[in-house]
Amino acid sequence: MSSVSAVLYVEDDPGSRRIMQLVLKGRMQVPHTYLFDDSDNFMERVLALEPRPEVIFLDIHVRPFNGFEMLAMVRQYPRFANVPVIALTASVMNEEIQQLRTAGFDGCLAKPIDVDEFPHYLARILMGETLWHVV
Amino acid sequence: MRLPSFLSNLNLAPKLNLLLLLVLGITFVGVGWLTTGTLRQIIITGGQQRAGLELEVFANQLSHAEEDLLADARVMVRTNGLGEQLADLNFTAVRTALLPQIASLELTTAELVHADGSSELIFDSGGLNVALGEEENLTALLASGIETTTIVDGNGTLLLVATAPIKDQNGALTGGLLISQAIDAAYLEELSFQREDIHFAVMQDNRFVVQDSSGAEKDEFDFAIDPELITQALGGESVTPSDLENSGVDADFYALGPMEIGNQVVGVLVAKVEAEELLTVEQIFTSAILFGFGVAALLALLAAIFFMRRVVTRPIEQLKATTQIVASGNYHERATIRSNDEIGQLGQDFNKMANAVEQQITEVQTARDQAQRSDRVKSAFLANMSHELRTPLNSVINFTKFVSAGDLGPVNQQQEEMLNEVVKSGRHLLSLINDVLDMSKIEAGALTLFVEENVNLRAALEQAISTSRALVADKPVALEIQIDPDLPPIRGDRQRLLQVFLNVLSNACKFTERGAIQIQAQQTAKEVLISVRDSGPGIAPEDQPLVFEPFRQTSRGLRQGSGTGLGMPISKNLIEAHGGTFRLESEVGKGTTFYLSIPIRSEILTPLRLTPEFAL
Repeated sequence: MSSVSAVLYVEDDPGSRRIMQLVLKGRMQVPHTYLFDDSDNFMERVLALEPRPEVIFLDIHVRPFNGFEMLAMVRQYPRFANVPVIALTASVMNEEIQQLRTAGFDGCLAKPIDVDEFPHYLARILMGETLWHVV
Repeated sequence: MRLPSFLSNLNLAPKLNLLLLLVLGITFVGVGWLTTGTLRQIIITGGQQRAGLELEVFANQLSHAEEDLLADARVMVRTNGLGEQLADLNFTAVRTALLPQIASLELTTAELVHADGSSELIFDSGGLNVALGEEENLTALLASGIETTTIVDGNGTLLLVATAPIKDQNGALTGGLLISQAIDAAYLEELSFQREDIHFAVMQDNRFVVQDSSGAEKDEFDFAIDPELITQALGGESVTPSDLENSGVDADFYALGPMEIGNQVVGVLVAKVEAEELLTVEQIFTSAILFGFGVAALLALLAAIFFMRRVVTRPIEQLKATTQIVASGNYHERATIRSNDEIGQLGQDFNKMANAVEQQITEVQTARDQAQRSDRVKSAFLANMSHELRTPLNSVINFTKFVSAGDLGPVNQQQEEMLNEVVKSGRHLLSLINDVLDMSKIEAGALTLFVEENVNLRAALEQAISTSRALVADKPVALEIQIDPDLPPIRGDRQRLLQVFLNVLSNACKFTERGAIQIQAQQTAKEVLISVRDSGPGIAPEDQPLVFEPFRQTSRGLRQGSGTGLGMPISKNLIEAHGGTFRLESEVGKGTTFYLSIPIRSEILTPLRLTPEFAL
């Protein structure tokens, strides 16, 4: 369907992880779908990924490092400089949206995600669009 | 009584000092007036007494002069042989006998008179050329053989005359001697001991006939005297007029008395005292008293100012300062005034008030802190709730979708339909959660807008319209769209505006069974106006206010099911948060129109500024 071949998703909720798996692997057939269930040794694990992810989805409320901290770590590596990092969040307080923008995320999707629209969002993200689809 | 504004705007101490000044001023004027009056009275009395005394002196002097002249005449007549020589009309012999004596006295004239009436002037120092002997009354006196004195007008000069009869050895009258002393200006000057400020004058027939030389020089007797006083004086009384002749510096004092010569009143003596000196004394005295009073008043005023400052101004300023400290937010400050007067009591009352205020403030601050804590707790709760409620819904909705779509294996139609129902319910639950969370945020005042500068209303409307089409897909309802192609980009929260449009449109679609829904959007100078008109059943007037109230649905809406009763109130809040307005017009049976206005550049919205606040 789409031309992306490697996607990383960090999420501690098993249900959400499974859904993303169904979408990415099941429907979109993305060859390399990486799913982390926590952020232990986050950067080490990311660097070890081969091929490296073309887009990274981060759930904000993950431990030990939250979404903001993970973003900061990723951005220290020039090889990930152009990789879109999208926040996924179930809480939609506008103050958090502002923080996400300020922190440098390339977009934000609200949970529950719309699995039918998700492929289109992904395409737009890969084309460089910053997507702030909240609600 | 209202004071003029410039007076009432003075501070308290100056006011009181001004009052004191007023009192002192009045007292000063009173004292001055009394002093001058009293002094004047004293001086007048003194002056009058002085004039009276001088008159006595004058009269006495004149009396002595009279006696002396008579004595001289008597002495001269006692020279032996005068009687016989005169009988022989031997004036020469008599003259020879008398001249030495005459010369030693300062007589004016001396005349011999013979019993037969002839006379000879034997001495005339003043060149008067009188013939006293021919005066009728004088000859009569001589004939009577009595020594006498009298006043005679000798060719314009007043003469004091003494007559002494001359007798021979047998005692027969042979003639007489008349000697005279001129009472002229120089004589009077001498009588007044040549004093500069005392003047004597003689009046006859109501006019001044002679005055002392210094008086004449200064025109001292250039005034009119009350005729009644003159009459009194002629009657033998000494009189001193009670008012001053003139007022002011030229005022003088004078006294009148009878001029008695030879036991007869022959004129009026006038003695005048120049008052200038006395008045100068009066002035000095008055000035001294007033000066002394002035100094005392000044000292009193200074003392009052000092006292006022300590007792009134300073405590009040202290209280004022304390008031300002408390007013500026330091509610713990208290006044320290130690006196027990009104100011002290004011200070105490102020402290009581400050206590009450401090207590109130503390209570209010506590309440506010509690409210803030409560708000924080609420916000945290909402954030948490949002997360907790949505996460499971993610699983519910999306897992069901996957199964229903056949991703996990084939499903039959019934299964698919049922699963779709689950998804639908899940979505409904999600929208309920969203609405409830939104309403909680609104009521907690925690709803914040994600403001951007270039929101494309047209695109948002079109997105909402395309989503709503599904709701009327199976109904004979047409969507008529009239959106101005030149709608300007506006300042606002795109997501929230989309939310509003979706809400309004889905409402219209839900309640319209047939007909058309007209969507219009146009711009004015400052706003964008949007209207959505449906041909649904309309809303009764009594139901119209319910539309915007949370959790209230019209009876029809309840019957129609689905819907939280929150959509409209939330939409109204969102539009108003943008500075716009949201209202409806409806008629039962004719449909409903919703009108929205959104400012293009609302001033109540602050666009978000992207600042790197979050530490990376």
